[in-house]
Amino acid sequence: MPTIILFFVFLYIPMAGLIVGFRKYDVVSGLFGSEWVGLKYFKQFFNDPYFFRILRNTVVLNFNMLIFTFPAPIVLALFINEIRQKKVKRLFQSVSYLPHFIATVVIVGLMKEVLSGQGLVNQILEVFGIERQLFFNDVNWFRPMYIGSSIWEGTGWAAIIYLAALTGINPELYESASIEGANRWQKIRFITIPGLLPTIIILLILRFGSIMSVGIEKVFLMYNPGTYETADVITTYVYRRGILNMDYSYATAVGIFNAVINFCLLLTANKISKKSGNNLW
Amino acid sequence: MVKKALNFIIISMFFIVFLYPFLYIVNIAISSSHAITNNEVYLIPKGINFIAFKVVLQSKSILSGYINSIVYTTIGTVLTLILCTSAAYVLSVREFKFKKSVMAFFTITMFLNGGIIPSFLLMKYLGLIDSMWAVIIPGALSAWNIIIFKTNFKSIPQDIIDSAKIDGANHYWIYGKIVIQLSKAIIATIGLFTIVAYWNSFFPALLYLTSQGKQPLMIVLRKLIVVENMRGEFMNLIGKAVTVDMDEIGFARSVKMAIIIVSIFPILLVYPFLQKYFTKGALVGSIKE
Repeated sequence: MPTIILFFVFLYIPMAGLIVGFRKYDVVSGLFGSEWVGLKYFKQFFNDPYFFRILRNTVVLNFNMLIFTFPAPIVLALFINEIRQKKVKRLFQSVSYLPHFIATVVIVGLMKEVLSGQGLVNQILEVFGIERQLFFNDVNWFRPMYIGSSIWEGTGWAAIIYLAALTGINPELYESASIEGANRWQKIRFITIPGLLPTIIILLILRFGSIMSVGIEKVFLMYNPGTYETADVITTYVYRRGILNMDYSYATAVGIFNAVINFCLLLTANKISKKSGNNLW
Repeated sequence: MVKKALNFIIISMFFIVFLYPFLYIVNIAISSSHAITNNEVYLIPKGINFIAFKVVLQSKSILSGYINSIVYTTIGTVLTLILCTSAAYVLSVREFKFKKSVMAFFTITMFLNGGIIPSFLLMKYLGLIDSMWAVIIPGALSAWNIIIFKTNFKSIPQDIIDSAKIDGANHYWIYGKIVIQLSKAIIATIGLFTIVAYWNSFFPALLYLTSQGKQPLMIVLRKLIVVENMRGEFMNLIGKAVTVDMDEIGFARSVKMAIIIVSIFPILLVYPFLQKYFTKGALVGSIKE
């Protein structure tokens, strides 16, 4: 089957190509003929002056993403779930997931406009007498911007799974609660949230499994040399060293380092989720 | 009363957060350059004109990006559907002996991959750098889609397939005439999501495409609205259109927003169709994450 051949060529050969990380790549002898250097590039990476910085940025960015972006869809789902009219509910949902389909490039372009020197946010800040900010050139603003825009982009989409879980809650529970005289908040607190808890826990475990992986696209679009201090993550570093500086072997070694940690985290996450009664695979 | 007011506040907050950015884009795109620079555009556009759109639609680089994106998206989506449904069909055939190992072969790629550099070196080795196939093929190889298709194909009643076999149908016939015909909904779903994914993707193109004429729209966009601010190609683009009675900075912002509108237009076009299949797609997608 052609599909198998294509999978083999484009996904499995690169895996084999990871050995480049253990070799000194040179163009003439190619992927599999270059000289073996063992763990040289890994050692070089651990002594890299940027090692600590990109590691810290990756972990901190992901950890903050987890804290701030994780609860948002739950809140949104609870909110949408409280809407009685079906049509209004539909409208809210479709409006909230629209941003998910907008390209990252467009979103960052829009952020550059809204957050620019003369942009909307600075105008509002000025009304409140706060100094104008150069958001994209400020080291301290990178993470808040990244996380804020991610919430805008992803919340509506992520809420879908919670809304689906909510439909699985037995309506009789609500009815009997009404008979007992429970109000809206009590129903949310004692029926809806406990009903969602299994879903929340599974998704949380999965998120922990990916705490070392950052999609490269958005960081790449948002950062500039002035904000590397907080913005540069492992994947962007791999890109710069590997593609732009053509340090193929070194960048591959860094990539392997990241992939190994990711894989271990994923396995751990899966083990934990298995223990809690659900299997990821 | 308090309750009603609270509801109203929450609802308006919701719409401000999710809809206002879009309104803002449109307003800036069609307002006059002076109104923009003087911060007069908030809720309604001022001095409505379409010069910014004219500039965008006349731009050669945006036009070629648009055409390239359409080509990549079309070929990519068709290829994805053919590759994934055919693989899924084989996996759904009951008598197929190596089902387990082939399935494992696909599934492993969901968790392990070579990463940027080895993939790049492979493309280089295959001579695919600066070829559109380097952008199209990797996107089409999705173990995830195969699994979804397979699950769907399996839900087709075996009786239908068995009776077709008795009538002398071979696998190609069953695949083309029965399985595909009965799975239109899921094919449409995956197809639409694939269209959006190809249209929005830019990183493969950044890695593998070198010549100007082959860049998809997203790469052109990145250059015009993310990287270049009042310089380079962007200034060439707006330079000709700026006249004495226009404010250059305001007009530049207007053009950028017009570019955004033009680029998300196809997505808005497929959005109503996408919506029909939303929940399904999101559910399978969220398990993936």
